[in-house]
Amino acid sequence: MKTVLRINPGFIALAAMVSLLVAGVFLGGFGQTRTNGSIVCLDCIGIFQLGRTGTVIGYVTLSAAALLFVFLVTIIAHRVRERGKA
Amino acid sequence: MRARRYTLVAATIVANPWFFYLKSRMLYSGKAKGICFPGMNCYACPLAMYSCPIGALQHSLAIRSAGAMLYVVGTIGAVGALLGRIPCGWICPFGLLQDLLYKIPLPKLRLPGWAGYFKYASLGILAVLLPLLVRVHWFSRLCPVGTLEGGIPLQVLPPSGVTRSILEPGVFFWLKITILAFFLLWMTVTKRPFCRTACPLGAILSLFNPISLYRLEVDRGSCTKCGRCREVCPVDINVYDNPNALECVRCLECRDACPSASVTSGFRPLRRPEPAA
Repeated sequence: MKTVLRINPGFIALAAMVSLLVAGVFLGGFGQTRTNGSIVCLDCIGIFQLGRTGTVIGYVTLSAAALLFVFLVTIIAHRVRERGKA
Repeated sequence: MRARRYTLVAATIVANPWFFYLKSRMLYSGKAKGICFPGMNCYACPLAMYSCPIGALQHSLAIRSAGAMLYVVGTIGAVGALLGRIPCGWICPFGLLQDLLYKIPLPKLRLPGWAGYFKYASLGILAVLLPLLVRVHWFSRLCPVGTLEGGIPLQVLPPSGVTRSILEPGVFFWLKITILAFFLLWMTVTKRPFCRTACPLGAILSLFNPISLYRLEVDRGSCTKCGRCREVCPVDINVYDNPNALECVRCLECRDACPSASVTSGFRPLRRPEPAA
């Protein structure tokens, strides 16, 4: 009779991830994920400088985001108007 | 589901308990900031005591620290392997914001299914590849959570010891504001758009949905495919098609709404077909 070993893949994944976590702590990873709290994370709050290429990319992305915003407002206004007519 | 709403609010407070900042203007810099909070809560938030897992991931890649990478990936992965995307539905403060904004009575827009792939690009390119290659936290630079929880509050209440000139908003601050404005507006017309199209944490946790120990199940015998589950679903999926879909945020609204009680959930093994006798 053939014996079939059935292991829940969730347990395997959990064991693997916990092993990674423990290995990371053992290698000193816990202390390396936090920066000095008195220094503000400038990337997170949008205060960062870029070179010329990065600045151009920034202006292009800013324009795209603004266009998407206007596009969404237009769609919503159109739907509201249609709902009012119906 | 009221329990979920209360849990989301409580989790937001648990993630941001450093009210001491309001008096002292001193950011928390203790050891707890090494703990990755299992939701999108910005490290730069003046009230935050824990770190954002995606910010920590980018930082570990940027400094090329194997220990930090293993710790962050292991933390996120352990949560995912155990619970799947439950943090998205029950813990994430930004998820709570999206659920609340969707209640505003405006015309609603449905998202096509393929839009969900964008979050994997966000994870792979902005949160992994770019930090690894150019050592810059590119997802953090664009993240609307950071703008809402860190960028704006720190402009209004700057920390002590940091001069105003350092915090002078430039073009990229306004870029982040525009991205935030776009997402806030989108959240009023589409269910959880950030979770479905941009969130790298949701992208990682979603990979564990099919195999996590906590699972949903649908009794095909009693399910009438009435569609009630999709109506209440915050990410607009047909639960009866695949109860453990990658998009599912495990809010369990479908379980409570199902008129035939066909949807159940809990810690259970993945069903495998029985071997032939």
